[in-house]
Amino acid sequence: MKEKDINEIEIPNGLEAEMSDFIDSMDAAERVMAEERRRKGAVRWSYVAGAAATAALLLTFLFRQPAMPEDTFTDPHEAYACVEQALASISEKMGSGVQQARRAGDKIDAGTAKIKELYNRKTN
Amino acid sequence: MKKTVIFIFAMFMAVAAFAQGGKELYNKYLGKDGVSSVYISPTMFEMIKQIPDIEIEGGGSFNLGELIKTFDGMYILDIENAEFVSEVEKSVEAMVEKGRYKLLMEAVDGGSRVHIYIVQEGDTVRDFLMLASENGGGSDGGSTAVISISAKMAMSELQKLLASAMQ
Repeated sequence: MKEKDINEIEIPNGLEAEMSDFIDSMDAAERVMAEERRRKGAVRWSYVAGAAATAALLLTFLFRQPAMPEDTFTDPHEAYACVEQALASISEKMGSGVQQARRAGDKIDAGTAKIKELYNRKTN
Repeated sequence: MKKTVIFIFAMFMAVAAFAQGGKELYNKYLGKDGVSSVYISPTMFEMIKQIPDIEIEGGGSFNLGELIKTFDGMYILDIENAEFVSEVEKSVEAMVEKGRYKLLMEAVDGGSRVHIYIVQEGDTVRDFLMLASENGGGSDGGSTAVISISAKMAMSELQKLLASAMQ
């Protein structure tokens, strides 16, 4: 199309104003979107700060040193005697458990012997 | 993000709960009515290890001295308060349910019950916990003794203790 032809095209009334309004609205929309992006960025940072604070709080909670109790004894000989006593008690309790297991074992042996006896009687 | 924070929080809480043991039990019941307590610290165990005759003093055929040298701390609770007896048993059950403690032995004879739990890392026993209850414990009174030992004890040492108990 020649330049002359282009110039001959009739421009509808108000198109220029419409185009101007359209460009203005696009510009406004872009500014709104930029503001939204900026706001979202700020929210993300607040999340990060919140998460960091939570993590710091949890770490403090997790690695806090509970109050150490005070030693009951000041003399190592007394402490040793107490440890010996505790171990003797553990050994005794373990022993009672082992005795029970032995008693149960004896009963199982008696039961097994009875079954064997019955089986032998039947096969003979 | 909220989900992530909740997840991290849950993870931390799980780790904190997992780490519970005899020390926490001791701290919880220390100084309460009807509770006698004994604590032997790692420092005291260091001093015990330096006692010259520790090798000589042995428990019968089994030398306790060698075993004691592997200990880092000991917590003993003797509870005669019915309310706490029930509570401590539940606390131990909860600790066991979390999976850190393994049941080594359970013996029930009439009104007395003994539970022995250990925390094992490979061939090393890191924690030993004995819960001994008399007369059923809990609702009908009775008493409970808790002995908790932090140690770096070879499993073979514990087996020797068990063998000596069998004799």
